[in-house]
Amino acid sequence: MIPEVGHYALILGFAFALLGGTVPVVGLIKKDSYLTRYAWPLSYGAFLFIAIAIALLAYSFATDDFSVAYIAHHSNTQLPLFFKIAAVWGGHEGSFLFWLFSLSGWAAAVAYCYRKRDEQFIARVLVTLAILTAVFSLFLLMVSNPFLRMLPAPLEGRDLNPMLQDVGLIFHPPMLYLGYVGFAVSFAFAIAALTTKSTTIPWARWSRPWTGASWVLLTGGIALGSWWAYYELGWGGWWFWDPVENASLMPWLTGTALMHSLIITEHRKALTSWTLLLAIFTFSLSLLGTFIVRSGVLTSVHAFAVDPTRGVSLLAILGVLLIVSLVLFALNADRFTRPVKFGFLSKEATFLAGNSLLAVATLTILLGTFYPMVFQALDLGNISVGAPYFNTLFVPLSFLFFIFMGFGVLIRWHRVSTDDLITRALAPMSVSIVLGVAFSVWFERGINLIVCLSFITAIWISLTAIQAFYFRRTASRDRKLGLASLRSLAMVIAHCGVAVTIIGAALVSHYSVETSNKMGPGDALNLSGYQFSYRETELIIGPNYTAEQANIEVSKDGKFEAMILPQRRHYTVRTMNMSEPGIKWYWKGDIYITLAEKLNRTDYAVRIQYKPYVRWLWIGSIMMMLGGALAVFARFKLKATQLSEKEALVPATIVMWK
Amino acid sequence: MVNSIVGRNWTLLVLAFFISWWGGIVPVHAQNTQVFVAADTDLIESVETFQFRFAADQKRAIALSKSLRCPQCQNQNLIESNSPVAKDLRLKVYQMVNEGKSDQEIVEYMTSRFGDFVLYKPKLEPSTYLLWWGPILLFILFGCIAYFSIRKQI
Amino acid sequence: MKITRFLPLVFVLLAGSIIVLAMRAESTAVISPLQGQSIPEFSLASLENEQLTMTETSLTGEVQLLNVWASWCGVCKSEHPLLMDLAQQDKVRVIGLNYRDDRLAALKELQQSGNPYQAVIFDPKGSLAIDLGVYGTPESYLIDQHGVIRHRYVGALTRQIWEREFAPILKQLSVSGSLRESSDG
Repeated sequence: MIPEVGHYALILGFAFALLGGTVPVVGLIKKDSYLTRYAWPLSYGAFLFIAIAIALLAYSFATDDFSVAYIAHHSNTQLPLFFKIAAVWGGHEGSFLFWLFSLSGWAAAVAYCYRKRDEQFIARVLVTLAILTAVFSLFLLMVSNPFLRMLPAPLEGRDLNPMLQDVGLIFHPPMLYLGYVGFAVSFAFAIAALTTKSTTIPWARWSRPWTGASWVLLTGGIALGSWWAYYELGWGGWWFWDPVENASLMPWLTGTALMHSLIITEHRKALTSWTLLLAIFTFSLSLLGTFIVRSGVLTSVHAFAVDPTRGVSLLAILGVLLIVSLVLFALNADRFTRPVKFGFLSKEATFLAGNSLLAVATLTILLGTFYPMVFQALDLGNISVGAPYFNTLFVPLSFLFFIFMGFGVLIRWHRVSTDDLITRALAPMSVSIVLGVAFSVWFERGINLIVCLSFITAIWISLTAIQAFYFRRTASRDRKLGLASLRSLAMVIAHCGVAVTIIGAALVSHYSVETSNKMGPGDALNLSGYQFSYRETELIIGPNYTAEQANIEVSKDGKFEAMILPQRRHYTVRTMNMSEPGIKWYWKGDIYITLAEKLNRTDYAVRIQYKPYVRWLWIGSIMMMLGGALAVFARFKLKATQLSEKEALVPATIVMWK
Repeated sequence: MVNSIVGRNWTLLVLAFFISWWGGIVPVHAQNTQVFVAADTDLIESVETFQFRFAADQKRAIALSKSLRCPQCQNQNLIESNSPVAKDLRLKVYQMVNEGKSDQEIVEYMTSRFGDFVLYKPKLEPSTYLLWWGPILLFILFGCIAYFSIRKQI
Repeated sequence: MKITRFLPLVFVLLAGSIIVLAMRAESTAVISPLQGQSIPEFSLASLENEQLTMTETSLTGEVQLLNVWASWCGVCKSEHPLLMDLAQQDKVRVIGLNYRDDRLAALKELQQSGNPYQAVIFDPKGSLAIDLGVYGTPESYLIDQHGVIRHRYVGALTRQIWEREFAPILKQLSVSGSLRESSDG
């Protein structure tokens, strides 16, 4: 009964979204304000019913209703409760329902935020989002329905894939989807901007907090995914250039470009075409990502079950979306005039360069990800494009981008003389080079070019960010932190986060060490200054698994450091064996121990790795998220304290630099 | 008197040299005779606990294994995969690196048996020109677009 | 309305068509890198008779189907009836390559379900298999009378696959040269 109610709620949600995408359009065309205002309650309604649908699905999971096929495939009575709830998004149908839930949620949030003003424009935004919601709910209902029954109902479910039974599953997909889908709001703002006749609507300014919030969530989703893979998969990798990972990286790159391009469009009405296109493509890439994961077109460890029909439908939706939005762009983009011109040495130009580099990086990843498929279709054979290819091309592009990143922060608007630029940039540039080389030499006897460049660019990014913030504070006459200063602080935190991530990535990629040995109780060995002593093997019984656990004592210079407990788990229902690594983490690095197969009655093949500064990868991501969140928060906090139009439009950088 | 001391020391020195040389050679030869092992546990033991002669070899072997794809898995390299074929191939890579074979030779060995599919770094051939040079062309393209769009409105 | 504004649309249409066409194209069979080459050298014992050594020359003289199998391989059982059929109809000489198996278990399997193989190569360490590029059982290789690999199929053989992929080549080989040549020694 409950699943049927949930099913019906989903259908109602679809109905509300369909109406929300059509009725206000009639109102806009006929200039009937009454009909236009329907967009608001219809958005709320769609969200309400889709929320009910997913809540009921979660309830069915919690009560072990195995008559629902989706639940029978992904759950089990022995599964702990929080995993049962998380299993809602553990398979294709449920995760797509979550996608839909996020989309309708974002739409309702936009409706609530702008509920008292700018009816004409916001109505267009809501209509776009409603149309998207309607199309996707139709897709869900027809091709991927999570509420389908399976009769007669099995007594026991197939259990959630053991690899997914982890706290990572609870947070990674929701955050990722919220991020992906949040860019639909930026997309909707762009479409609204392209279809509105008004030229005074500050659509770029309004779009910024939504874009910022989505970016923060997407960053978090990707970072969580990386961290989860690191401690779950057992070999200490953190990025694999897998098609599904690439699918999340591409919208992140264009989303970053979008976030920054919006700044230029808001303040100078320049780079408008870039901003509009980036908004369109970021959401399209999110959709492409969903397509890749679910269609089976590309081989990946992360992919859901293969189903070409779903893939084709998603691709068709994506195709129509792109064609419509790009035609709108082609017809209307010229309406956005560029009153303020800029020179080669200017903030606008630097951001343009940054946009271009991010676009090239995104297209490169797209090329590499799809090339094997096209290659095979052309009967040229079977090739693989993996980490070596992506690293070779992506790393140099990144370094180039980081250089522009530093300049973008320092350089002024409109037009700057070469002398001025040199004065500003010389100090941080020279300090970065000197310190960068010094650090890289200090780390290793020889100089590794990539590590050296990583240090230089990381220090360059941090110094320029701090320098810009300092200038902003000295320029501002206010002792409290105004909007501009808060945003500048957010920038510092986020950019320093990037620097931290760069250093973590460089060091862990180049200076990891490992050793693989046969070990049993009583054995000991050394690695990287630590002593490892295998104390005993313990047998553990978990909720739905049994495990052999190695208790390994780690000490440094004779002093006890920690007990590390890697396990080999056997999951009874799905009869899968899994190796759970034991990790001890320090700021300076991780000790990572995996138990490979059992070699004889007492001994195991034990693999011990030391991964220097690997935590910095995720600490950097958290800093990026904090920076982004602060920027979004700053806007909302200061909205209350009478933010004047003027203060928002005139950037403090123009006021005075040294 | 002096001559005999030097003479004795010299002989000892030469003897020591020969003994150490011989001690170094014999283990190397012993490694070369081992190709594959019979049962599964032995295979696992040799690949998971493989000891290299030089530490630098271990780094090279691991890096090389990471750039080779497991032929039967869903996009995993030889280090990531636990399938028997991946372990077979990883052991082969370790052995060949330990024997001093170059990266080129090992890659050649793998691709001549399993095809280019197992190579994560595609070879540069006419069919992959677009793959390798495409990004560079894109870079130039976007560079030109950026340059000319700025110049046009200056 | 400038033409350049339409460029993103054109690009997307282009890229989209390529991807859609690529999706709809039929996936071709895996082309073995060893296709057209001779069987690699090997020297392994026969499964039935430990004293008998088989080499690459044992696989010349007639057209043969080299079938990679193992007693622990569940999927292999599904192609077993077809192999028995082919052996009985004498269309082609069926040779087995017993991959990473236990001798006794393999012999028992053949005893229980029937032996379609004229001879079986015992490869417990997988050394010939790795030289052939085997990565999963079952696999089948069509080898001509000179010992050259003509076709490879990864997976369990069915009648359809046999008719579609192997039979035409077999016919071709019987036309070009006699199917059973006396060995040149």
